[in-house]
Amino acid sequence: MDVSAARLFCQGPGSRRVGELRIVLGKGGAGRTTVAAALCLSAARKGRAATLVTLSPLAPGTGVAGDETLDPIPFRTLAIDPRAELDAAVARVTGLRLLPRLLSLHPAYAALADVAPAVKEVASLDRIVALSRQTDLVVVDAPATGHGRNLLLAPRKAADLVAGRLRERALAVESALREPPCRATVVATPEEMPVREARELLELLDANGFHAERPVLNRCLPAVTQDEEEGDRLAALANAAGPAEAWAKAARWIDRAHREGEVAAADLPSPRRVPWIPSPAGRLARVADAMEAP
Amino acid sequence: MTVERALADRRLVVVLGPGGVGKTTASALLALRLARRRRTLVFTADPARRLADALGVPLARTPVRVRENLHACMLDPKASLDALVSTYARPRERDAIFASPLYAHLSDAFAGSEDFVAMGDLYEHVESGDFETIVVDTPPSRHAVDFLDVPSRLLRVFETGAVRWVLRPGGFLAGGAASLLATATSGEYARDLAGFFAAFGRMFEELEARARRMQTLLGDPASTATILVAAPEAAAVRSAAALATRLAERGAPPAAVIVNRVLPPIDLPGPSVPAGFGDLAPRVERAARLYEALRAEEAPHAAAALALAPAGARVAARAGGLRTLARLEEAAREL
Repeated sequence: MDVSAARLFCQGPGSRRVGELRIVLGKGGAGRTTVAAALCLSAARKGRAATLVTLSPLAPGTGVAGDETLDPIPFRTLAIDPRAELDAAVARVTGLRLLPRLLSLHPAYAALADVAPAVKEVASLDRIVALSRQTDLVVVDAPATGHGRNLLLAPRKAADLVAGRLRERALAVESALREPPCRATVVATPEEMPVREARELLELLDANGFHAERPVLNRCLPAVTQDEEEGDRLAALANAAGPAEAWAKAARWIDRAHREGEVAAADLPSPRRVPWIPSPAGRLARVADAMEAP
Repeated sequence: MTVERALADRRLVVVLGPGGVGKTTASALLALRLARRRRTLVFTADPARRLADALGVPLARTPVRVRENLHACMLDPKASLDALVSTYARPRERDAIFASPLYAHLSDAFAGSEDFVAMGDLYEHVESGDFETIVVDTPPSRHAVDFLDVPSRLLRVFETGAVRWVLRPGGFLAGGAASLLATATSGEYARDLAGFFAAFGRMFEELEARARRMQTLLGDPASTATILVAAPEAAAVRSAAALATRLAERGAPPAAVIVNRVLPPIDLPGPSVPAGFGDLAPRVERAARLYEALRAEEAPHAAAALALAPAGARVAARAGGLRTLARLEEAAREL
């Protein structure tokens, strides 16, 4: 590998520390950010230095994953802009420091960089892999659905499409992602589409030689009735007017949603269950508890 | 106000919203509702099997009849793109495009290429004149409003001269800023990219014309209405609010907001569970309290989402358990 190839991105091979890298994937709304933040919180509880990486800017003033009670946040957060990573990588190889800003102003470059397949993702992953070697744990809150899948497959695509320096970097990033310190966690809610996407993601991880943790089934509701007889009793109370009606209806809604969720999640192999926690205050701590449970 | 009134007689109804809130189901409900008066097409992204089963017809890229006045079709980006290339590229270009490794990865090549392809199909359905209203369920994208910006994004590529510039003999490699990308990624890659664009050249002309037409249609509030779908949770409402702001900046705020997945209102009388539950009592108490807490959590989010709509065009719906067309129709009546 030539020197300029290492110079193209921020970190060459042979760094000292091999930290853990976790990539959190799943359908929009499944709770990727919450699970990613809970993993960081969990690491922080054990005295490990963790960084939560997002690939889009966090909305200002929203707290981490809807838990405003987490203050101070016991881990780092970092937003990476894939396009800026590519510009920076291009600037490094050309040695022009002012280039990133000039480049983004050049409409032809901007148009081409926007459509160039996989290179932005490889530049971002290269930065993330480098970061993981400087700390104990990096958790990536990946984009939803297909965009998350494209992120993981970007190094392979780039390696298939291009030659030269970028190909070397793409291959280095890909092999780093396949080493055991890097694992993916797939998050779903107990519903048809999120579970279907989670299964597809798990199959894709397996087929491409990535390591996957147990999937996380987020927002699980408890069972109320244990057999048909109990179910019939609850239904009878929910359908008869009286003081018990509303209580029975509410409990029955939970019970049915639980059962439908179990049917939807039946295809997910040994998921780690995280209960649906109604209050945002302290939610992250409770999700972290559920993630730590044996 | 009913959904029909909010939508008046717009030709295009674009359903936007963050991921996971039930855009596809909401689109189907809207279409069922509109089909009572107008010839309607619902153009869906990948529907849940449950919804596809409920519609009762196998969905494909070409519209199929669901019932009187209602057709449905499904986004199939790969098939649409193949069709586009087959229709508009010259035979030699066509072979070059299909043979290019870049073509196989085109879904990543264009930011939001599913939107881009959807726009091509949508254009054909608009042109065909077969439908009075087309309800468009937008595919997942990083930024949900991207769909409306596809034509202008495409036009920007044409107008910056990037395309003409790579088409010029030797232009891409000889040129200034873009050759930096070539330096960073290797010459072959840049040549492949340039060659690919060259093969696409003729198609770009066609796409440019389409993009202009679609931009006009999508930008005209008399022709196009947007419906914002949200779920009553903090993150979804934040995304929906950002979306509403962007729509307002475009001069076309959403015609209506659908808040999906709202829990049915059940208020618990009395401080504790009444007699009659026997050994179920503690479990019922816990579950009912959880239900109460879930409703309490969603209430402010549902209100915030509804406040994004113009007064009188607010719709709250819960689309769970829609397994049959009859149940879908019942839910559609509730809109």
